[in-house]
Formats: sequence, structure tokens, C-alpha cells
Amino acid sequence: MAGFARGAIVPVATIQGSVAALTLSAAITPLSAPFCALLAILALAVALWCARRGAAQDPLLIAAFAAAMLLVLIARSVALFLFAWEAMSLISAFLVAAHHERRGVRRATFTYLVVSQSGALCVLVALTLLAGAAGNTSFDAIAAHAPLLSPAVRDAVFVLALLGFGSKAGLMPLHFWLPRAHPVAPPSASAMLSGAMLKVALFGLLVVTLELAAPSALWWGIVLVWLGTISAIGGVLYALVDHDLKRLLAYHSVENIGIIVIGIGVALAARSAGNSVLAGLALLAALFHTINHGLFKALLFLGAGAVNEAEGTVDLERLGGLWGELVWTAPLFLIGCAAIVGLPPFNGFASEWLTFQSLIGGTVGNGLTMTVAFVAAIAGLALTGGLAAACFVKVFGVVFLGGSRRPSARAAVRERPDASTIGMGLLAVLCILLGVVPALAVVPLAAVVGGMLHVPARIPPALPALPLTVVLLPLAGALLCVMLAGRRGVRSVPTWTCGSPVTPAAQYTATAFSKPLRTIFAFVLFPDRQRLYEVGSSHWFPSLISYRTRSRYIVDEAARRFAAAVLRFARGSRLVQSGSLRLYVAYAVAALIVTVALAR
Amino acid sequence: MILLAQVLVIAGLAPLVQGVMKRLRANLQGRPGPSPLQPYRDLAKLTNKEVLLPNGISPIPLIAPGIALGVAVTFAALLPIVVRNALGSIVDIIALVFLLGLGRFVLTLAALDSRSAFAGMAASREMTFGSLVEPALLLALLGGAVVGKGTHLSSVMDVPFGLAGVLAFAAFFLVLLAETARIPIDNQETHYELTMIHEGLVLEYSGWQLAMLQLAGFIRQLCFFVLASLLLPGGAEGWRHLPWILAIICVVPAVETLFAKLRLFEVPQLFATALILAATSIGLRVFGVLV
Amino acid sequence: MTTSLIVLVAGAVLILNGRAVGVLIAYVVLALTVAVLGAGAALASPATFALFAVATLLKVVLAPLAIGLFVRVNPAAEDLRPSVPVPVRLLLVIAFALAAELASGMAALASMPMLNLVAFIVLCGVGMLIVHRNLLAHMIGLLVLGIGIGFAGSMLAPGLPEPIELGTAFDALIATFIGLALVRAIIVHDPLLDVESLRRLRG
Repeated sequence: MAGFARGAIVPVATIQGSVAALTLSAAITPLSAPFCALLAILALAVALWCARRGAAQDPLLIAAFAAAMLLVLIARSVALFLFAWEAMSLISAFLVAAHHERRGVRRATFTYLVVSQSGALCVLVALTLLAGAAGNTSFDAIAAHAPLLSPAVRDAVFVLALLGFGSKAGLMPLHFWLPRAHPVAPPSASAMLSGAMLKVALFGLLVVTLELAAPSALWWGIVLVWLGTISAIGGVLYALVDHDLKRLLAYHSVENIGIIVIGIGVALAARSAGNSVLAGLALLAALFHTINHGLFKALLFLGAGAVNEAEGTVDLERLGGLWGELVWTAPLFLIGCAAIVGLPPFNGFASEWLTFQSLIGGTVGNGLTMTVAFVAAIAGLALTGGLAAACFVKVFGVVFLGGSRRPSARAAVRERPDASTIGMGLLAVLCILLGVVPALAVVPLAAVVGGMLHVPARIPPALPALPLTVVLLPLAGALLCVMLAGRRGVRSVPTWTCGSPVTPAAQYTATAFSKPLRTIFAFVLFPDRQRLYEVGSSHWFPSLISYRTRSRYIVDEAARRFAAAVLRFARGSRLVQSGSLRLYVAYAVAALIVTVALAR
Repeated sequence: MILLAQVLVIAGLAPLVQGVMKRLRANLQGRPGPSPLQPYRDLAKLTNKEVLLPNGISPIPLIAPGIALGVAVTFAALLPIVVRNALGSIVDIIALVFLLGLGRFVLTLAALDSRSAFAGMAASREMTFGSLVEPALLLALLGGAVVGKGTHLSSVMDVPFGLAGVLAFAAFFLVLLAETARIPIDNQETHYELTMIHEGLVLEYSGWQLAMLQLAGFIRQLCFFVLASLLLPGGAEGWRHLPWILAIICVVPAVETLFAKLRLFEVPQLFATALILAATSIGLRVFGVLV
Repeated sequence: MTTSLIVLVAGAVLILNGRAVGVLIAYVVLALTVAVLGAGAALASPATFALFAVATLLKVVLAPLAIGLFVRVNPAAEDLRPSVPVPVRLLLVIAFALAAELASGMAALASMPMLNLVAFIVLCGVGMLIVHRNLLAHMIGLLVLGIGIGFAGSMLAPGLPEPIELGTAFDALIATFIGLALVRAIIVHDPLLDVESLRRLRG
């Protein structure tokens, strides 16, 4: 801890390659410590999930994935970083394609691979630029050379890093692979992808902006704040109108990555404006939310996996009333929902509170662009908090509460606790623990931040006691209700539906729940709906009405057109590889002539 | 001790405030109206009745009224009326907004558990309007925090009033109308379930649970009025702002009488206006213009 | 300070309000304020004072009275039918206020006092033409523009009150009465006086 506060780096290994550029060196830096801790916890929880009876997962692949991510976190030279990054991307692609025989999975994997490789290309160019300028591929040397970089190189590196790491992390508008890849992967893989891999991408961004291209410009922070706000609002809006449980959770990952990026943006902007205390607070908020999001998102994905196994579907329109069946998963899922919405006393509240504090602290006295960006971010963050609450009321209320919307009757099977329950319980306990005693995580993170920014980070004094004291009375109220119910008795009766028989069809569906918001935000979501009437004997009394609604994603449209253009270009460039030996010899001769001409 | 007295006074006066406003609204509409003490009698009557719960599948509908009442009482305890720093730095604006969100979350989950279509409809509308109101609510209260006075609730009193104060109060007034379920957003006296928002959430409750929910609503309403009075000029001490509550108690029924309830999809325009007013007030404060 | 607030609120009402009565009241308030602010220069000689009195009478009393009577006779024309919702109009008012503040920092017009008020009034007049679809709103907008330009004139050239007052008086006269004559002819085709429907009157 004290070592991290001093900014010490714990070296792990260094392998000298024959070419200087291929040196592989690894070390645990203060920045990578929280990410490694998160990775370890998630790996444990997912391992427990995979260990349960009747699980058809491939634990070896997941273990390799975790190892690759660990390697990315501790890499301290360009070659090792890129090697580990590519390994991580490819192994995760295999994980996403686990059910490749199903429809749409191959397409989703292909989309994921395209985005991932383009991003890796950007990262490669960025790191090569930095290594070229520094003359050495070790991160320490690059960091030492960083103050001497020219502004043009620095800005280019930032843009490339933003494209590469941002697309991998799921920042809008490069997020479109996330809602395709996460839902088709098995739940353990989704948990690792969403919980850990997105964070590793953000770790890469932090390393580049805070270490390798060190004194950051003001516009970097402002751009990140705006992108974070757009991701947060856009992510939660698209999540609201979705009724595939796993795709919805993937969109919420986009939202939370937006919140973390807001924190990173504030830190960068504050640092370049000279306010190191605020930068420390913002970075603390970002790192804390990273850990929290990893925890509760993994919990939610594992819970969604349990729902899928019990019911065979993740379509919200076909689920309902699972509280009685999944007696262990439901309360844990509720904890995950409350944590992601940011309700006290869970951990999401503490980190969102810190993000708000950092935004408010930077509003005044720092120039017009920063003020506008921060005020917009405050309003946007408040809006996403409210919309996220709406979305998770919909999710939990439709999936676990009320009655079942199953099309055919099925006997209810009560869930038996096993290793997967222990895994989810571990994550839930951590959510509660970090929420009630935020100091457990905040104090070590403050040491990390202090080590990185070389200014001791100040934890707001309100934080340690805040979450628990605020919910004391509501908890007491809940206990009072239970006591009164015990003493005076309550009677359970069927719901009053104006005299007609109570059917599950009478309760509100997920589509209906989100309809007002879908209509209000139609200018972003472009919903289109189909109504089909099946008429029997009379035209005026249809026998069946089917209602389907879909949102068209403007960003997806743009991405689709770009992908089509890339494909056209690729098809055109296929002509170069015709398979003819003589043409290849001609290429070799032409290249030789050009090289000789250039070398004169 | 003072804190306990503050909470008891607010909790005790809240039904009276509701009764007075109901009577005023009736008088303005030309009706005699019920006695201002009627809410007390209603609460007493409800505590003697049996509680019937719909066949919910989870314990959430059982504990929701307790949590809502706890949230309302915490809100009452957090107001910096008599002593500014009674609970230290826990009296935090952001924490307050999230706490109110907690109450709304639990109540709407309980409504969805009751399998009633009307409760589901009310839950959907409540979450829609609740989420659209949050940015305006937060920005209206952050007037003092953005100029460096900290996010303690008493920071709203630490800044000069000026045009920024007027705009912040106007924005907060619109938010107040939404949170206390008043026309032009919601009608507390409607009997048509299709037009209910707040009433629809509590449709399935009875007995002491309904009494808890109603008392929680009254306390929340009075706390919002106190918060609105803190945004108006009056000095650095909370209790000096209290006379403004009388004005608010008279103005809100007048607003309810003068305006008609807005169509559901015209209400977000009201919230957008509130957000723009609040953002403008923050902008004025940050740049020190016309303050 | 108070004059700025009055002008700000009156200009905001001109754009935000959707009924003719409210807009007329705001216009009268604006005209009175401008008249009071420009009254100092008008007291130079009896001739200028007479011109000033005539102009003020036209602008403040006769024009709104004529429009108000017209609205009374044709109640369907009272709705000004704004084409954008309230939040967008509010943003427009704030943008106009900011633009007026920016304009007051222009070096070329630095000799003009109260430049921000003039700019705001002119912008609100033009804003009415953009936002409202009723022909009456366009007329009132032109009247506001006239007030703004007259105010600018009296601020720029305080020593020449006669031409300015003459100009604004005739401006108000023409705008009101010829405008009303046109409106009377058009109201036969479209009782709502929608400007968009005028496009169909060609040929």
C-alpha cells in the first residue's frame, strides 16, 4: 500500500528478445493493481459458476482468457502488450462463438472480430508512434520520454488510442459490437467480457493518457466527458426499449463505461488545468466505478444465465414470476439491480456519488468549454440514473415478479443452491460490502491514485458514513412492516381485476412498461411497430392481435453502411491475390525495383 | 433531540397541510370542501382496517410501505431547518436525490408484483416522469454547490438570490408539482385508474399499509415545500425561510385550479422547460452574471 | 437594471406566449419602456415633443387597440400557433439574450448606449416572425422591429429626434392599418391566418 502510494512498480519478469523491439517485460504497476484484483474476483466467481452440475462450459478457454487479460494488465513493453491484446481478442472471439451452430452467432462473432481487429490496428499504430519517438519499446522508457513529445504526435496518439481502446471498451459510437456479441456468448463468457475485458480496454486508455503520452491536453478531457455522457444516455435509452435480457445488460455496460469515461475525462481535464486534487478525486471515482461495475455486471450476467437455464429463454415477454422458482438467484439479482441503479447502500451509489462530486467540483473557474461539458454531464448523469432505475424496475419486475407469461404451462422447479449460487453470492456480498463500507476500496484506490498523480488524493469526508446512515430509517421501516404483519396479520387475496378472472395476460408487459419512454425519445430511437390483426368471422372482432415493435439504431445504420463500403473495397482488392505464380513473381520484381528506386 | 422534534413536527403537520390544501382547492372551485383535519381521521380509520395483499410472489409489496415511510422521514430529518449541520456532511443533495429514487424503485417494483394492469400502468408512468424530473431536480438544487459551497443541503441558502435564484426556484416549482402529483402533471382526486399516476401505485394497498403510504406522501410533500422555501430569499438560517411555505400552500391549489391536466406526452415538455431553466440558473451562477 | 429585466421578460413573453392577448400586453410594455427611455431627447422643442407624442400614441395605443379589436371580432385568430414547443422557444430566448450580450461587446458600435437592449428587442421581433405562424403575430413582430430600430436610432443620434419620431410613427401606421386591411382580405380564405396557407393563394 505504501509502496503504491510512492508510485512503486513491482517488476515481474523481463525476457530480452534478439531484436530490441521484441523485448517482453512485465510488471505490476499501481494502476494495474485494482484491475488485477477485479480480474481475480471475477475469475473466482465465474469458476464457481462453471463448476456447477450439468454445466457445459469450456473452463479451459475462460482460464486462458483470464490469463491473457492478466498479461495485458502487467505488460510493460509494446511487444508483450500487443501480443497479449491480440490473444485476448482472439480467445474472446472463440468464447463468443461457443454456440456457433445457432443463427446469428457467426455474424455477431464476425462483427466483433472486425471491430476488435480495427481497434488493435489503431493501438498498434499508436504504440509504435510512441516507441519510435522514444527510441525504446519499454513502457518505462516511453513514459520517461513523454514530456518531450511534440503536440502533434501526442494528439495523434490520443485519437488512435481513443479509437482502439474506446471501441474495445464500448464507447459510443463504436459500441455496436457489444449488443451483438455479449448476448450470444454463454453467461460465464459474458460476465468476463463485460466485467473484465471492457475494463482492460479502459486500463489501456488510462495507461496511454496518464503515462505514455503524459501531459494531456485540455481537449482530451472534454472530448472524453462528452463521449462518456453520450454513451451513458444512449446506452440506457437503447437498453430501455430492448426486451432481450442479455442484450439489455450489454447496453447497460455501454452506459456504465460512459460513466467511467466521464470520470476519466474530468481527471484529464482537471490535470491539464492544474487542479490535481480534483483530478485525483475524478480518477478515484472512475477506478471505483470500474471495480463496482465489474462486480455487479458479472452478477447480473450470471443471474441472466440462471434464468436462461431455468426457462430456456431470455425474452422478457415470456418470463415472469421467477421469484418463487429461482429462490436463490432472485434476491442476488435484486442486489445486482439495486447496485447498478445506484441505490444506497450498495456500491453503485458510492461511485456515482464520487463521480458527481468530481463533476461539481470542476464546474466553476475553468473556462467555458469545461463548464458547459461538466454541466451537461451532470444533467446527463442524473438522467441516466433515473432511466436506469426505470429499466431495472422493468427488468426485475417483469422477470421475477408478478405472474408467469409462459406460453404453455410447466411445473415449477425450485432452484437448488450449488457452486454457481456461491459464485453469485460472493459478488453480491462484495457489492453490499463495498457499498456499506466504501472505505474498504476507496482507501487503497486513493493510494493508487496518489502514486500515479504524485499528489495525495483527498477522500471527501462525507463518504464513509453516508450510504448506511441514509438508509437506516428505510430499513427500520421495512422491519416495522414485517413486525406489524406478524402481529396483526395480513391476508393474501387475488388481485382485483374488476371481477374478471385473474390471468397473467392482464399484467403489464415489458414493451408496455417502456412505451411512454419509447414515445418520448422517438427522435433518437426511431421505433417502428407492426400490428397484425387476425379476423375470424367478423371484421370488427379480431381473434388475435399481434403487436411487434422495434427500434432502428441510427448508429447501427451508419456502421452497417461503413461495413458495406469496407466489404466492397475488400472484394475489389481480392483481385490482387489471383493465385497465379507469374503474377506473384511480377509483384516481387516490382517491389524490388521500387525499393531500389527509393533507396537511391 | 432537536432533530427528533423537527421530524415529529413535520410528520405531525404534514396531514394538516394536505387537508388545508385540499380545502383551499375545493373553495377555489366553488365547493365547500372537507375539513382540514380530515386526513388525520382518514389515517386513524385506516389503521383499524384489515390489510389485504394481492397474491404477490415476493415480500416486496409487504415491506414497500415501510421503506417509503422511512425515506420520507429521512427526508424530513435531513432538512436544515433549525440546525444547519445537525447530521454533519450526510445532509447531501446527491444522496437525497438517490434516496428518493430508492423509494420510487421499491414502490414501482411492488406495483409490478401485484399483477394488476392499472398498477403496472401507473408504475410505468411514475418511472417515466421520475427519471425525466431527476436532472432538473438535481440542477435546481446545485446552485450553491457549483460555486464551491459544497453539496450540503444548506448550500442553497448560501448564495445570493438574484435572477439565477428566480430561475432555480421556477425549475424547482415545476419539479415540486411533479413529485407531489399535482395538476398539471397528475390529479390526486381522480377516480379513473387510466389517469392515475401516483394514486395508481398505491391502488392495491389497504389498512395500516395504506396509512403508512399516505403519511409518507404527506411528509414528502411538506418536505418538498420546505425545500422550495429554502430556495427563496430569507437568510442563512433555515427557519427564516419558513414563512414562504404559507405562500406555497396558497399558490399550489391556485395552480391546480387555474390549469388543466396536461396530456401525458406533453408533460415531458414541461420537464424540458424546467431543465433549461435550471441549467440557465447554474450557468448564471457559474459566470457570476445577474446574480 | 430594472429596465433590463423588464425588457428581458417582455421579450421572452413575446416569443413564449401563444395567445394574442399576452403578446399584445408584452408589446405595449415594451413600447412604453422604449418611449420612456427615449423621452429625454424628445423634450428638446415643442415640435419634437408633438411628433414624439403622436408617435407614442400610434405605437402604444392605436396599434395594439386596432389589433385587439380585430382579434375580438375574429376569435379564431387569437391563437398565434407557434411552430415549435415551449422548451425550444425558451432556448431561443436564452440564445437571443446571449447574442445581445455578445453584440454589446462589438467595438464598432461601442458609442451606442444600451446596445444589448436594442439587440434583444430586434432579435425578439425577428424571432416572432420565425416562431409564430399567425399573420397577426407577424404584424406584431414587425411593430416590435420598428420599436427596436427606432430605439436604436434615438440612441445613435440623440440630436435628431424629428426624423426618427416621424419615421417610427409612419412605420407603425403602415404596419398596423395596411396590415389589418391585408388580414381582413386573407381571413376569408383561412380563418386561422396561418402563414403557411398563404402559399396556396398564389395564382
